[in-house]
Amino acid sequence: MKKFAPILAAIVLACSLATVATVTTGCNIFGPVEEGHSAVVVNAERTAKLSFYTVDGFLEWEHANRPFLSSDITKAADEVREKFPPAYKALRDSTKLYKFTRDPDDESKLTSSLKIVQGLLNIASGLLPPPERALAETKAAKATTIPTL
Amino acid sequence: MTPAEILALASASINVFDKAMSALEAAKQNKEMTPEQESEYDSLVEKRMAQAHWKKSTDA
Repeated sequence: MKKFAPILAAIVLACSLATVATVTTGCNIFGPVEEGHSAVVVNAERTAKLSFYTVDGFLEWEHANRPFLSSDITKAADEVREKFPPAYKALRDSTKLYKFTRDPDDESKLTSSLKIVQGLLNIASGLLPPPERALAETKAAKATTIPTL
Repeated sequence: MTPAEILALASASINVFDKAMSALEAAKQNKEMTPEQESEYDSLVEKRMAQAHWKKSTDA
């Protein structure tokens, strides 16, 4: 089980990184923002939700499966537990502030908060095994016979 | 790997996939959240963050 856990974690984090990056760089996978609404705010709120639900899912999974996982995964999860809440709060606070003021200075603060949340996901991703190893292990996992239910 | 471990891994993968889908579903918005939606969402986040899986392993 420990052998495959990093692959699963890598997939989860890679998916979240790709999605958050897609949403926050303007590739609008959720459709256009309605007229009269700020794209900056909508993207910030989307990113907050995506990052929170993804991290929450990852931490719940790590917590439930900890006895089977490598200590590196738990260490990465603990780092996320420590650093994500303040970064997330800063993102939410700066989003609310910008919604209220619509001030360009507050917009740049919001952009900085978004980058911190993205950077945190990058750090977590960096703690995982190299893609080559994950790919090789994925191929090995595919070759494993799964019993019929 | 034993069959039980394979099943546990498969189950964990499905749960993680479900969570990822929930995340995408939640992020499907094309307008700003209203104050009521913000309040409801922030309250949900606060409750989730108070749960055991958000505590560091060293605090357990």
